[in-house]
Amino acid sequence: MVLLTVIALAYLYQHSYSIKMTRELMRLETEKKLALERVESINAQLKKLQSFCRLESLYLSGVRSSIPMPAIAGENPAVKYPRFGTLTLANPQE
Amino acid sequence: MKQHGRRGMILLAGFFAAWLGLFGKLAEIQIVKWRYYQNEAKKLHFRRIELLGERGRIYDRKGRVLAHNRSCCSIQILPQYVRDKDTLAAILADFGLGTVRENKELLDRHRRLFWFRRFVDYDTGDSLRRVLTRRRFSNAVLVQDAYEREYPYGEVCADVVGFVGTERGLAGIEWEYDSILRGSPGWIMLQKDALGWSYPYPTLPVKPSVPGADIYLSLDVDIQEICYQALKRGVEQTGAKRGSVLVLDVHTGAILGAVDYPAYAPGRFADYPPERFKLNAVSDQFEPGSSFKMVMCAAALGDSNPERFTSRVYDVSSGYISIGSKKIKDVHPNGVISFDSIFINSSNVGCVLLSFEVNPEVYYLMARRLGFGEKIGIGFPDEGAGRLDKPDKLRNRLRFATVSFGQGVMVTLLQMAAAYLCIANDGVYVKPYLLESVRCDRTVLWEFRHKSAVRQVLDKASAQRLKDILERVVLNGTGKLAKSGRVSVCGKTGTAQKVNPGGGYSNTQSLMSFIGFFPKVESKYVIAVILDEPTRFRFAGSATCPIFREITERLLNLGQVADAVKVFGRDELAAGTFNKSVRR
Repeated sequence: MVLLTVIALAYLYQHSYSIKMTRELMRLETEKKLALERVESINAQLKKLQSFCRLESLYLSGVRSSIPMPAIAGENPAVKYPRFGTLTLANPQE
Repeated sequence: MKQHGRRGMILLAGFFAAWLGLFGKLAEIQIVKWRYYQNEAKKLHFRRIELLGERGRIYDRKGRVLAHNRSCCSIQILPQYVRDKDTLAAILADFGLGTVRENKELLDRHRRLFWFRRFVDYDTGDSLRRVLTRRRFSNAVLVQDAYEREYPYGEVCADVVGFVGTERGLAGIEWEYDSILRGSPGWIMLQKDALGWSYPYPTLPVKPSVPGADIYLSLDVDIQEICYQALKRGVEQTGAKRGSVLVLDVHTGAILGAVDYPAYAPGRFADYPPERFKLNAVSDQFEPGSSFKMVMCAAALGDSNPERFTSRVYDVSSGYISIGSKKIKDVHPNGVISFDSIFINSSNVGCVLLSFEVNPEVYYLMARRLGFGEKIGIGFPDEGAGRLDKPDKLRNRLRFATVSFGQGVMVTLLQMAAAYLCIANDGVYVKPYLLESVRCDRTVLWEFRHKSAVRQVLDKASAQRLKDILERVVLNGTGKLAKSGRVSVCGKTGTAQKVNPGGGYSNTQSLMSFIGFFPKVESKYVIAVILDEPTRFRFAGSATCPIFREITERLLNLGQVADAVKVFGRDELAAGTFNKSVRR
């Protein structure tokens, strides 16, 4: 009788422990999903701001970009840059 | 004694009948209705919860997310089951969902199931769900898990990406590829105790939900942003009703930018009129005006003997030409002009003179080969096919004459851009595309097969001649304001009168377009700009060319940075050490 009671109690304990663990697992999974969603959202915002800043700085600097750029293939390569004067940049490494 | 025997028999029969009935009922329960009772028992002991399939994301060509999901909760209330409306109103108000008074009014007003709130923050919704269960309101208030669609680039990409309604996509890519994006739902079983509380258990069956596939578009968000800003400024400065811009990659046909202005915020789509939900650049059909003259030019150059058109001069000094009772005029008198000058000065009369000599069948074939008169088929909702008269109708002199300068023919901006792309690509027609790939996790399910060419429409020499003409349109002709100091631009303006609702053409309302490409040699981008009814300018040269030039300049900056990164490397650029290599 005692043995049967112990087995029954052990089963009940195991049952409740399983429920508790499954609940915990589900909670953690939900938290992970929410955290990943937040990371994704922040990443998207970051990329958006990065490209916005880049575009704005390019827009504001306009043609006065200080970076000596390679000319587009087939075009007149003479491009004016304030820091370097008029450069012929068909191949900028020349 | 006899009476006792009879009574006993009746009792025995009754007893047997009762047992027979009992066994019959048992047989009915166990054999006939076993499935019904099994389901009823399951309902008592288990509870099935639906798991939502997450919707696939939409990305641009560089993997920047254009549409993604956020977990949230939606709350529905069954007012007829609410036993204490005051308490429920107070609980909802405690979670920041309205005031007690507002909630009470809502509960009193509705008699059937209604949406109380949608897209509530997940943490708030989940906490509310627990409190409602504890306070015994869970049978009357349904707090369901849901996904809210987020669009990080808002109205910049709204016309292409579209938006999602309750469950399904309602516009743009979200609508067109809804079946691909939509995931399939799953379910999970929970144990239920005598009090109605539910518990998860590991051995109970689960069907996991399957998320939808991700879609990668050919769009480049940087280019999209540039186009949107330039178009917005253009529409505001010209006083136009609306406008559209398309940017195409010449080599691949990829649609890099497609914007309309005014657009709409996809998160608040209900606040906007439904006509904004389409991409005008792809769906709207219009009479193109002079930008369509390049079809006549291509037809003449594609003729078996093009010299008969190109080696002579055309007298358009009168400034008009009469066909029957109709008079077709030039905007400016042009004198005696060459074949090239007809297009450089955009002479309607010159085009009409050409139409008298060009074979309508050759013209029709050229227009069809340039992609007019049928849908391109980029896989986007409401794509327009345009309208192009068959050769037998073009045999009518007046009709062919009007078509020659872009009236009496219907096109979409995408068709126009694709035709100019063909010229930029040395006469090779490349089909534009928007959908680049469909992926699930890292597996590519479908990918656009890049075709280098669909068909050779013009020979290289004719295409080169057309490019020369289009370059001179920008250098000396009607498109001077599109000229860039940094790159050679080729293009053509178009000012088309709009049709009056009562018939005839309007003198005040027009559609202005500029379609061009750059650089002239090894062209990279085709840009098509259109404005609907600009009020402050009379001609496309003044209204649309500045928008084209702004986009060109900014694309050059963007392209140069990308090229510099390729040459110098990102780290070197960031550190500023690239200067040394230049000085060397």
